[in-house]
Amino acid sequence: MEYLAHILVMVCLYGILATSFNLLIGFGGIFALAHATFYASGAYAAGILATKLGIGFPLTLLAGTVVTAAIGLLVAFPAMRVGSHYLVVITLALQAITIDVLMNSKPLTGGPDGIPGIPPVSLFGTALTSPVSFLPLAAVMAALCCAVAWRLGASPFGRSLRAMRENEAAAQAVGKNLVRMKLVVFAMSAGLASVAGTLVAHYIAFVNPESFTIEETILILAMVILGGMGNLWGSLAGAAILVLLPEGLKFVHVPGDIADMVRQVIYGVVLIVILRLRPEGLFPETVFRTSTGAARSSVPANGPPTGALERASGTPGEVVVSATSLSKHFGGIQAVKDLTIDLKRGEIVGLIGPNGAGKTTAFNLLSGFLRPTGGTILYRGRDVTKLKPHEVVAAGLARSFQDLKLFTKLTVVENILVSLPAQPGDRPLDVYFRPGLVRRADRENVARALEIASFVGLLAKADETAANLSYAEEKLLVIARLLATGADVLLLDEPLSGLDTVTVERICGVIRDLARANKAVCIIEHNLEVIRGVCDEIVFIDEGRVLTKGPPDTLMRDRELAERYFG
Amino acid sequence: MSKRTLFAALVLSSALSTAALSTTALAADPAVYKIGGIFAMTGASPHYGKVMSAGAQLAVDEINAQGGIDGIKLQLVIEDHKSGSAQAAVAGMNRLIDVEGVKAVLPSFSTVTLATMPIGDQKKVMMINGGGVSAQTVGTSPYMFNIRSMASDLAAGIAHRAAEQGAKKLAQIAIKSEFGDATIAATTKAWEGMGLKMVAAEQFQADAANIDTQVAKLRASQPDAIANWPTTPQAGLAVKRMRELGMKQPVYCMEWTAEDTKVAGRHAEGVEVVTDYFAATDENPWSKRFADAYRAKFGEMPDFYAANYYEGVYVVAELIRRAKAKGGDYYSGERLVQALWENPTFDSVYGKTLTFRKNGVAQKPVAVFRLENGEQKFVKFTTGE
Repeated sequence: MEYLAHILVMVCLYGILATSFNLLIGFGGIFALAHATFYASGAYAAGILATKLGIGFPLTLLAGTVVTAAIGLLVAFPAMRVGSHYLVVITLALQAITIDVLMNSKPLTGGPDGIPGIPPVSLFGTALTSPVSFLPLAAVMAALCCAVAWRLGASPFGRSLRAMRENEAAAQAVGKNLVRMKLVVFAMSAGLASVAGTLVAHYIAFVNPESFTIEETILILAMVILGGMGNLWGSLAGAAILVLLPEGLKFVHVPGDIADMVRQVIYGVVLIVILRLRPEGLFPETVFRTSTGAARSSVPANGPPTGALERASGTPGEVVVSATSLSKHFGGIQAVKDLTIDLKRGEIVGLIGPNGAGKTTAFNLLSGFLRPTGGTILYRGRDVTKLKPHEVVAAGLARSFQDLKLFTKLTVVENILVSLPAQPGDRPLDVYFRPGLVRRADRENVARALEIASFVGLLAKADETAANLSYAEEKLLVIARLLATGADVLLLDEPLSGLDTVTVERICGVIRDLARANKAVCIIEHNLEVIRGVCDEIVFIDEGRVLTKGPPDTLMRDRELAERYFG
Repeated sequence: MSKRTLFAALVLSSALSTAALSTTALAADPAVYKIGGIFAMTGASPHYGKVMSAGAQLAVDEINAQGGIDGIKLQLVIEDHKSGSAQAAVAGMNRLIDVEGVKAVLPSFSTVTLATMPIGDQKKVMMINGGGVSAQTVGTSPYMFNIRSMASDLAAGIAHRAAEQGAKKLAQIAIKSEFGDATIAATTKAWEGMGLKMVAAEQFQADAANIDTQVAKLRASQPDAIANWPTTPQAGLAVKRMRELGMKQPVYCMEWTAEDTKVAGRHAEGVEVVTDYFAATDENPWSKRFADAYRAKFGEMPDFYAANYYEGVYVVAELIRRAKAKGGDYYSGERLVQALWENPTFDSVYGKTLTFRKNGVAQKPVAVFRLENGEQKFVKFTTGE
């Protein structure tokens, strides 16, 4: 009984660790391999406070969580600057530094000897010294931690995290503040991991550096991968399997002193087989998909735009964006030089020029993805030159990408939902403390997202993942996402390339609708028929500067231009 | 009451008493005496698990071959602590007690012993450590015993040996581990306690392959002798690099295995090992018998870890035998501990006897060995206090 209770306690503790790690890597896509550091932080905080200052549980839990969340915030800073393998290297270094600190700060941490004699948790006058007595506490804490993680993961914030995981640039382009999101998820993940650390310290009554090495991080990572990234049930299942399996294998009799090595081989083979059969883990992340069932009835299939396309305020023809003398150089290469362009309400401007002319760089400057070397950008008279991409979107200017950058594992409606501005569910405090508000707002947002999907003709595909769309549908989804941002200046980077004529005409119709809704539209396009058909003005760029601008028909009759560009 | 009735009543009560006693005796006798071993069977240092489990298993086999304890066989149940994982050790300890029903456990590694000790204390399960040397395992639980000389004992032995050979300045090198820390602290205390000077104490990571920086610092401190505390194989590596960097001072070790001799090569010559190191000698027939049986079964000579755990099983078996002889519900950790304190002296495979002191640490002969032509030659016994 005690043994079984002990195993269940460990399932609970690893369940906390795996779900908290899943928030970071499964939802946020942040591959920070230092989870054992957060685990250690909670454990050592409890050990030090309890043995040196006589502070008991739950104060140790509170202190450990706060300290570890703060460490999580510190770790988040490099995470904001680097990604992928650089982040892996940085966090592995942090993991190594943690062990060195624990080993060498002997007066505080006990060095390699660790901290023995940590007092047990005492509740209602009873010391929880045995596995059986500790199990209810471990189960309650695991349930609480999983509920906290679940609430975040299932909220609009969790949806935004998954969007960030899919594509950071696209998440910024629909107005997400990645810095804030990373800080929040790091702090949450670290704080939850520290709860497991505090519990294990009081439970085992001993902490030592060997318990928190990189192997521990890898074990927790294996639990997340086995269970399924982005699915918190999966993390619990992964934790249960990886705790129970080695213990279960102990009942498999293997003779000789290699028994444990043989069991480890069996353990490895079992994991390989499971992942071979279920490469995305036992539980795919579908559990967190947004349900559209209730909201669908209120949306007409491919009907008129209704509320999807709100008319932008202001006078048609009014200059909304005015970029003056923009320049950008990368070392000795001048990508954009003295670019001046105005975007007006209700008008469609085509940005054309040969490959490498600086068109996409111009979009990057206008949308905040690149900071200009010189010049200014005014949005309705406000200087937005130095704003970050999500701030530019919030101001009212949004862009698409030539390579689409869809959130491929999110559904169509989720792609649109993520892009809707000012969602209460994007604020973690509201997620936890104003759940009613968040639920109501999300219900309304789902309905609005479906309207937008209907407007671009994707209502029937609303619940499909973006990865399953045809190329034409992907292009439509890009426009739907832009529309959802609520921006009244839309920059479309090659929205029609690679499409058949029917789809081109369909998308051209949508673009015209945008202009009719008083939005300022700027498109980069190589299809001259399209340019002639939809644009009110053409700006011709070559070698980073504006060569000429004017109505399409006029420019296309220009012999020099025809020679340089049209061939 | 007639005489016949009285006689019948006496017979009946006698029969009932006998039945009750025999029921008690039967209930107290397990089908098999299970002894737990928590060893490093996998992980970074499986060598330790291999030799410790081999030593313990050999003792179990020998005792069983002689009929066990009054006909009841011993069984060794091994749990893997993955070379130092406290959590794996705690899981193993719980399993040994709860599933296997052991009353005595042989843990290894200091951290593992520290992590499992509270469980042994709470569940009243006797623990005999034959591997770790941390002082923190001493005197904290009435169920905790150490059959390996502690770092303080061995450090004192080495300090005496170095001083005896004329050293005034000592330098130390060790792995950054609980073993290294404990040994450095104990040696410094013993050395400076004799009014001599400690000139350097360098440590390196357990998995370090290059320790030249630390060795160079030792050389710069110009010691008269070097206390070399790394465990296998870095003990050999340290000696090799010291000699290759021109250091000719006497080197004293606390642990040296055949693997170290292989790593150090010709530089191993003359290194002295001061330890409760096991070596089979003609003066000690049990040691010869053990070494021969071990080599026959496992194809190599036993080291002192194998000897410690071999001896540990014999101590537990002897305690069961003594407790059983006293009768009653004898098979419990409490009764084993009680039996130990009634007579804390046991035959030792190292020679003569070992005696548990009041702090639970066995006092054994600490011997000086010198490496000559790759073999460890016994030099003398020295003081371990």
